Amino acid sequence: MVREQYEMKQLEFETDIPFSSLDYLFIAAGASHRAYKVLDILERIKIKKLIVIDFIERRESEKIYQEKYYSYKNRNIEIITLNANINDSSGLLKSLVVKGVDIKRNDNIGIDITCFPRPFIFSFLKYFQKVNAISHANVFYSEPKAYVFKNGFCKTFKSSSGPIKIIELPTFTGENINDTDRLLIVVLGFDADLSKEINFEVAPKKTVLINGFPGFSPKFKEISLINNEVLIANQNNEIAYCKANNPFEMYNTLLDIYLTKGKELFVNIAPIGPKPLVLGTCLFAIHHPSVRVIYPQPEKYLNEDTSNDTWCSWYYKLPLYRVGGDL
Amino acid sequence: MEKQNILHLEDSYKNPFAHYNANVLKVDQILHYWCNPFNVFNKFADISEDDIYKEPNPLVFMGGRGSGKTMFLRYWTYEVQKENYFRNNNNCLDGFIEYLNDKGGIASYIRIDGPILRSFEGFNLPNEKWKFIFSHYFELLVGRSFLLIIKDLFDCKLLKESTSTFTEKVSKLINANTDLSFNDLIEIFNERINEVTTFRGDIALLDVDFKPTKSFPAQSLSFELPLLAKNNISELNNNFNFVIIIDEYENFLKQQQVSINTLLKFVKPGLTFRVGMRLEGFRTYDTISKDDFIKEGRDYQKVVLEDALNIKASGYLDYLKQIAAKRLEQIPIFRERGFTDISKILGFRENLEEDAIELTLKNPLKHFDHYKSFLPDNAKKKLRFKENPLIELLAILFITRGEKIDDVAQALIDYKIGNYTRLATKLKYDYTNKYKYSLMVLLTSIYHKNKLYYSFNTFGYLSSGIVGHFIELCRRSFQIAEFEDKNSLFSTGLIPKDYQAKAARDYSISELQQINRIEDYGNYLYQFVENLGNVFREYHKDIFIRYPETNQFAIDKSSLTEEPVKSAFNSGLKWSVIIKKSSLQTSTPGSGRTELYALNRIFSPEFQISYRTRGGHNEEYTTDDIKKIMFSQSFKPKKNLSRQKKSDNSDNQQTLDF
Repeated sequence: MVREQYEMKQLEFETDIPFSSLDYLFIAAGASHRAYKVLDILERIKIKKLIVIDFIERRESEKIYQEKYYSYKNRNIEIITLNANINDSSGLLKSLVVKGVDIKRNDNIGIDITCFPRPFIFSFLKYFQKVNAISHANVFYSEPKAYVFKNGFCKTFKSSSGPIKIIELPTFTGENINDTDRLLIVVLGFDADLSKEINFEVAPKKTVLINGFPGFSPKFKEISLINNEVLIANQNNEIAYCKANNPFEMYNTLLDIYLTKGKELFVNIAPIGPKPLVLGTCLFAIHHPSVRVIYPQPEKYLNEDTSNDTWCSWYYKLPLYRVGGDL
Repeated sequence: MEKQNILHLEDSYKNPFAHYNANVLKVDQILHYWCNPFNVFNKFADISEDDIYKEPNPLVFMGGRGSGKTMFLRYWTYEVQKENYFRNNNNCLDGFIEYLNDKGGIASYIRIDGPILRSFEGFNLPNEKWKFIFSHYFELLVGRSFLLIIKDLFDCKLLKESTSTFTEKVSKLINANTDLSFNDLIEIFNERINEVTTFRGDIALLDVDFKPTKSFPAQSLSFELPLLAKNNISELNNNFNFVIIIDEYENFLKQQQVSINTLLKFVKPGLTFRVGMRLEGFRTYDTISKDDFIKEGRDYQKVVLEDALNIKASGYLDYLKQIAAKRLEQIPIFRERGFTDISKILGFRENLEEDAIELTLKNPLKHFDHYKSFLPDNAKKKLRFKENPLIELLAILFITRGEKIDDVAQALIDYKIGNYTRLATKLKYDYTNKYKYSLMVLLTSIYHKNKLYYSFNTFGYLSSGIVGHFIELCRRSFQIAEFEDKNSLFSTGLIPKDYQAKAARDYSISELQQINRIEDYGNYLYQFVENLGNVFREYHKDIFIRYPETNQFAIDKSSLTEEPVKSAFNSGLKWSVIIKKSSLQTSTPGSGRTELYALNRIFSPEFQISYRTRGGHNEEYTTDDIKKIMFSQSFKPKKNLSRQKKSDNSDNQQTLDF
């Protein structure tokens, strides 16, 4: 098997950044402590255009943090702000060129996924690959230092509120030509309601639950296991582990499951866990178009209430084409 | 040797109730677990087994999540029927065609999952266009499905004709240039289906048009292929029906239902539908013809599973018992030891007297203290009835209702020795027929403990006619029993009541939390259930038990015209959060007959309320009340439940007996 070496770095100093300029850096506006940390780290890197995704719903809900929310404007960079609807990545991407974001094949693209809703991570990276034919994306992520648990109980954690509907992520429809049974892989998060609902909707023959372990911090250990107890206790389900901040390890974990358990099954992946694992899932799904990515689309995301403070920031070089084989 | 055998049996143990999603059961599992409701119930849902294939009109099976629709529908599919025949016919398929002719046809099962259905909208493509694409996709799915069945009949050499007679005709039907084999035809169907999948993927990023190699409008395959089969396969008799089973119809988008409704309306001889959906699962009754719609009775027959699978329907508990037995028999250690009767494993019904004694063990007189201000000083001595704290509590209630302490004390003595004087008779009657359950709930409230919900009978009630609830209650009970004391489970075949009660409560909480996530108005429904559950809880905590076991409400549903109240209420019915009582009933004694509703009984353990239908008082709500229950943080009971007894208790139905 041909293998490709992956590249990821913890960003502490400017010297950790393996390039000197970016044609585009995509970020999502937010009032979180973590929202612009990467932007700060990249201060001396030449960014030709900063593309800020300004989610209408988020802007409305964070009015009291206006100053923090719009602090990205205090930079000496050309900024293009794109208004977006949190449930419509497709509309935004289709309008990029019209709005002056005309990405070329050889452009050096950066994307800070810290405040990106998970479905947008998938749509953007797929867009870069399929429409722009970009060979690789420079992805950044700042980890949370703590999560907000209502009443202090980890079981009360919610990443979103209100009704959810399970959807296929746009462009990640997968291929199920013969209408075969399904294998469901759930990248576990803290929010247990979501995984149960997904499991019911997909009605898989087999379910594999991937838990981020070790977590970003030892204190996050086992929260996702405790909160997803119902699915974990089901004897028919299996658990796999993957380091929470390593998308490439996630990729390899998925590949292993895909090859050992996914044969003759329609593989469905639900990425509701930590963002680096979501990133690994996204890369895997781009490289393996036969898998379907499904997601519990909430009526409302709880943006900045769910975490506070910042831990480490990371850089990942993401190869969007499977040139050398598996990672 | 014997020890080894025991180890082997224990090692092979798996929770008998672990697999319960009928969508993923294999053919042999369906046959293992199948309990034929037509054999258990005297008259199951007003249809007969023959109707499954022979009834020309579409049948629509409605029921909540877990009510057994999918299991029921999948049993009638070609694959399952074939395997069943094979097993019952000494592993031989001779005579299978005659069997199918006799049964009246074959059925093909179509389930399109929610995420796929939801992908057929948006991306700036008009609904009309999506409707066309979906219709094309549906035709291909049905066409392929029938083709696979007919191919299988040929492969099994059950049909005399040469395959080419049939495949030539199908090739023409799909406009193929040459006469194709079955495999080629199926490959073409796969490719055409994949064209739709590719389009669904591309449309999100690119401005693309849907340009299929050939388009298949409604009926072009779903109706034509069966017709072609009947005209060209001589073994199929004139009355042979091709049945399309569509499951989870409630997930179909409105424009998708419009397309399928049109098919339902225009079924032809030899082709019909069986549809599985939740209650209120029709998003629309429209058809593609603007001035036409489908109508129950005329265009389809509705079968509500919960009406048939009801605790009051004779046979329901037997049905649950049989379902459980099939699962228990699959587990070697239970089969070997004869632990296959779930009513014995769980115990048939609760023992409230025993529960009351256990509850009061550490502080046997606390309930007397609770009523201190209503009781004379000597009450503890005079009303003591060690054998049954519930009787003590009832005696206390008698005092609060004006009976003299000496009379009640004497009644207790008479009751104990079986001397049924007026008051002793009343004590016995009220205890047995009226208050026993309420007394237990109240006693647990006084002792700040949870009432235990356990036993086969209780689980039957809690299931609310939804078999899946019953199975999940059992699954959780077995899981806890295995974790806590596996050896005891294996040696006695019994599950202690506290394990069962924990399972019931955990499941109740889990189901309640999940309401929030219901796609249609989940947040309103959650608030609705929270408020209503708390209202009913207030009634159950009433220290005078003025309205025992109040757990239903009356509303004229047709008055709910305002949105989103109307749709949210319907969503509550669709998801079986709210259950409509099967017939009009009087909401309070003396009032007119009206529509009554209850919360799904599975929420009873969480709210600590009764799971039975007791009659008596029901909350009567107006549209405004329903709005408040859905949108406000709290809602109070209609009746005054204060600890101060009113001197005028004209609305207190329970004192009328004195």
